[in-house]
Amino acid sequence: MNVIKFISLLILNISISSVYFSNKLVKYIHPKYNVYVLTAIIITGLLLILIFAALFKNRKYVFKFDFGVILLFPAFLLIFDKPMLQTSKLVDTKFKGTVNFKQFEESKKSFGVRKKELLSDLQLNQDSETYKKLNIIEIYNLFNLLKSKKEIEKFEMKIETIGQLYRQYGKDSIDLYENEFMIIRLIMICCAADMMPLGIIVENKQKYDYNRYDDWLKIRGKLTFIANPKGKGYIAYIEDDYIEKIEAPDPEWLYPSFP
Amino acid sequence: MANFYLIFTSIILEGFPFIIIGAIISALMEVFLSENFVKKYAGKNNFKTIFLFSAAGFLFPICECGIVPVIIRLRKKGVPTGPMIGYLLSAPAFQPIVLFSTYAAFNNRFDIAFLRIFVSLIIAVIIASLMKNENSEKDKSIIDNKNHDCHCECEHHEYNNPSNHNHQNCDKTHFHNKNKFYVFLNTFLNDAVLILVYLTIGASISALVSYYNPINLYKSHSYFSFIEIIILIFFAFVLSICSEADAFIAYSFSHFSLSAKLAFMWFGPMMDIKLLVMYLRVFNKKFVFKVVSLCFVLVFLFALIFQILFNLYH
Repeated sequence: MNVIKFISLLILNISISSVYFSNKLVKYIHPKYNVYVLTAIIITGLLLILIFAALFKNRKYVFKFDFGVILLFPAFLLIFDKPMLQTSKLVDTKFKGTVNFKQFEESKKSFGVRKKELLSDLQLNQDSETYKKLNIIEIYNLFNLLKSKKEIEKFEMKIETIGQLYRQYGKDSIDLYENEFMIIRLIMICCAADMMPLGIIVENKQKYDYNRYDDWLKIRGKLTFIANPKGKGYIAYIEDDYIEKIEAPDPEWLYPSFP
Repeated sequence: MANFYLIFTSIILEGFPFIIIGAIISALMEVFLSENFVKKYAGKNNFKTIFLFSAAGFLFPICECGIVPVIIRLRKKGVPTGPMIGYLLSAPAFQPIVLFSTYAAFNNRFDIAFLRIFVSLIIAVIIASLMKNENSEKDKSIIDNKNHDCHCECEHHEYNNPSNHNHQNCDKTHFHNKNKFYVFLNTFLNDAVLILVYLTIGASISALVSYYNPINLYKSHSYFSFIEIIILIFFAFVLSICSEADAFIAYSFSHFSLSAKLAFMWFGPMMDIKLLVMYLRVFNKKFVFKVVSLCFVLVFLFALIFQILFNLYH
């Protein structure tokens, strides 16, 4: 057995364990994988102990350079690097400034939230004066429940939501009026590699500085769905009553779950 | 660079548990699966065995990261090229998890989910049948030597030098460990580290290319369906997304046709950057190039046929 391989795998396992036990794993991968990672950490740890015992017992090992040292690179990144993401830069470069809007013809798609609860929310809260707390996925799930163009155009609800400030600029992006900006959340299906931005437009009556990209904001206001002027579909739109800068939530991303 | 590191490390973290599972399965196969058993039940390089191995992914699902150590072990045990390639290409896609994730992603549509997994199976069977008589070995003497798990601990062995790997010329007492548990541990360590190294290399390339992508992914190319298909095949290759998640990514490409989205889902589990790096470790370059080319051509053809039929009937 090559000792270099053993040490490389041991260090990688320790670094992954440190990420798991410091509760930072959700910054990298969807929570549904937590149990798999924990199982892999435990099994690898046990096998490494047995390998060490075998090395010690037999005293017949090789100490020779191996490409397994490459594993030290992700191991040290996991231990020492802070998983900070510049959302606006990610959307600018990877998505060329386009935020994924829900479209009318996708009305039956759901991100997995139970329809019954949302339907009761829809019925109870449209006339309410209190602000209903919803995240961006829940806002578009509400949209998915609306059955016709007429219902969409009549819809309005007082909501409170949070997101990161962003202003789209890409060729196919929506033209925003001078004060308008968007708030976006990154949706993680499996891991950070597949994250997608989901966003809504804010009217910005409070005149928040829209150049402060990546600021986390809490917004209260009236939610409606407006027709997308540049193509098909509808976009969520908030006529804001209140905007406040807040600390980044933990976790920062949204993790849709599926039935 | 913060964004690159996050994407890169997330691919490693997501792949890690499945590679460990694959390495354990591979080590168990090394210990318990005899070559005689394999020759008796899976030794034929015919269509029936190819089909059975390709379809076996539904009962023995494994993701594309975990499958590579299993394939290494299957080949060492004497499984012929055809069935091995069939299982390699179809198992990551032809499985229940992918069926249900595609169903959930595409508006609860079973037709698209079934189309996705069954065409993946068909493509895998065709490629395996065409490639069954090709030589996949990198170099026979080196393969014999590098994968020569005699578990000998003699320090004077030159592992990478076939001419010096000769037990009869050895003048020291050999420690040929036949203990099954030792064999299991040694195989696990070698396979896990090998595949993790190639995952690291593939993940770094993938994170770099997918983050700094040169093409506007959301630009509409609806006038030229075949260009859309090629674009999404390219993105399936560079994004290196696992087969359980790629359906949601495909669905989000709202400006692209359904045939292009299907091409994305067919191609990705068979071939992406990280898989290409791993395959080049296991098979020779000519073989890998042929497999990549066949994957591309068949996925493109199936997507084009689907587009034509879709246009005819809608």
